[in-house]
Amino acid sequence: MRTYILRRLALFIPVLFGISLAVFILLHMIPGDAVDLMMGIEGNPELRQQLLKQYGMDYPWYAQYWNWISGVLRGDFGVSMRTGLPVLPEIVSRFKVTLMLTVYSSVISWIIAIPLGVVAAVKRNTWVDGGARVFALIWVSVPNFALGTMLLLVLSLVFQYYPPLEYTPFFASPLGNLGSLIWPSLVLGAIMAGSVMRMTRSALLENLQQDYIRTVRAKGATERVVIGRHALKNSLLPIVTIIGMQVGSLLGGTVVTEQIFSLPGLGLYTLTGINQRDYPVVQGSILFFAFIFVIINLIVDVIYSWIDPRISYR
Amino acid sequence: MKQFFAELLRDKTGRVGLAGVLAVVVVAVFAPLIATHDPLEMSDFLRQAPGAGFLLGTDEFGRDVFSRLVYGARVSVYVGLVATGIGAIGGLALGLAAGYYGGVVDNVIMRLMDVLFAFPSILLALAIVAVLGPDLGNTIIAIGIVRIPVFTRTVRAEVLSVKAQEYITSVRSIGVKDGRVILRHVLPNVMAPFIVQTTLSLSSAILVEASLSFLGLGIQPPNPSWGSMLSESRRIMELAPWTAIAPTVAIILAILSFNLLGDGVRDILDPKLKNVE
Repeated sequence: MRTYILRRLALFIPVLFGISLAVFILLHMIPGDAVDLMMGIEGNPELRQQLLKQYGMDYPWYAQYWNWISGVLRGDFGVSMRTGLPVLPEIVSRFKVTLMLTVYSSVISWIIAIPLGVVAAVKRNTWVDGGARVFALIWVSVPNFALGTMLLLVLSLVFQYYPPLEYTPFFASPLGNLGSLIWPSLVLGAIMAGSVMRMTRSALLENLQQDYIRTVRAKGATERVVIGRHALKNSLLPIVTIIGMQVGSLLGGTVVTEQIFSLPGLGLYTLTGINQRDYPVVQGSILFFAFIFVIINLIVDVIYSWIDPRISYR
Repeated sequence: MKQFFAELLRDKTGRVGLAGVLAVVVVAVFAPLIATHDPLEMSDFLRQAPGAGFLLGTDEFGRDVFSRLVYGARVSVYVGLVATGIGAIGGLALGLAAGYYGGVVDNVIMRLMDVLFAFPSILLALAIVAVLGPDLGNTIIAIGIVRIPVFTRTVRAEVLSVKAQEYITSVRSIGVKDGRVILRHVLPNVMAPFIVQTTLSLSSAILVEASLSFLGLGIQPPNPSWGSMLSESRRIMELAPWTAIAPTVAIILAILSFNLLGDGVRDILDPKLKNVE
């Protein structure tokens, strides 16, 4: 197991290196650089040269890449061309917001989806099952920005309630933190619930048809034990897979949700960076996103072997 | 083909999905006939509630919401089809090459796909649009590229299992060239999962287009797209809720129809993936 994790960690290096290079080249292909945007219409060639020099952009791209990546390896992601603030601390503080959002929405989706999936599977082909399946089918078809907008609309029109515009960090006030994140989390959680519920239902149904379930039933075990101790436990693998995939796309989905609820998260930071051609910000945050994704994939694989000892990694 | 449609129509999911998709496509194709107003024309009736003159009301510039919705269907269908086409053909070619040749080719292609796959599609599409500049064509290219890895993986996995079959070994042993083996013997046998993936991809492509337009990176104003209509409505939605509700309902119904059709097609062509009923 340990060797496996170490080998996977070693594989991170070429992948992250590839991503950093791809992002860098991609960004430098954008017509119109940050300096153009900064100068506006009053720019002159001398000012342009001076600004290029200030940001180290008067070198060829490979030299610029080397400057950047060697900084990254030392933990220095450069400074934002817009605000002059160092990028890494900003990424870390904004990632906390995105992370909290991801955690809340995942928990919400599990609370909705897993019990609902179990009930649907157990009461298969009844109205409960039918209702739950239609619910899931509709939910997987709702884009998060549409649900978010509708939620804001209903809150303001029906309840005259406007979500707080100021973000409250968790350690300043856990309750206030929940207050600023509860609505966006509900949106993301509800959408994630659709596919998790579908997966829970079908995995459980498949297991309920296995021979070992008949054996357990023949021994006179109660339904609660049959489902909880045996069938559900064996259905966890596909459920964890879909949850792992969902958490990954959740981090991406936060871009839109953070925009709607004006949350100072990493997604919004990246989006603003892209719009302003703020190279260090975009490069840094995309590299950071990629790092988080490979970590999540690794964690999911490790959880597999923990759930199902038959899977062993060498 | 005939049997395929017969099966699709027998299945309730497939029937509803097909009807929904056909409705969206008809609206898109015949938009000029169905729309009651010019979608870009600004009238003096600002934020008019739905009624006889304007079926779904007007927006903040006095434009007819219903007609904009109808023209918006064009964008969704067009982007969905072309972007999925790019992703499907690109992924098919890469998947066939990776699966058939194996070795270095496989490694290079699949590691590249891993990198692309590591990103959430919205973020990747966002970055590509940022590089190319926001407009309809670039949005389509971006969404198409984002879809490539899914197809590559599906096709490659299938090619690997087909390649191990004895009939492939036998055609190769009589000296048939690689190109011909791939086209005549491998390709037909990977079509089923490929078609399933294509149908399922349509709804994701439409979803990503709507998201990009919502963020202001898709189709540019004043042209209507469901995503941009919803985004524009946010400024005035408390005064004119219909401007937000109409595109939301349209997006959800369209994506739902494409999902249902995808599920129906999958149940027929790939029964082993079918949920236990």
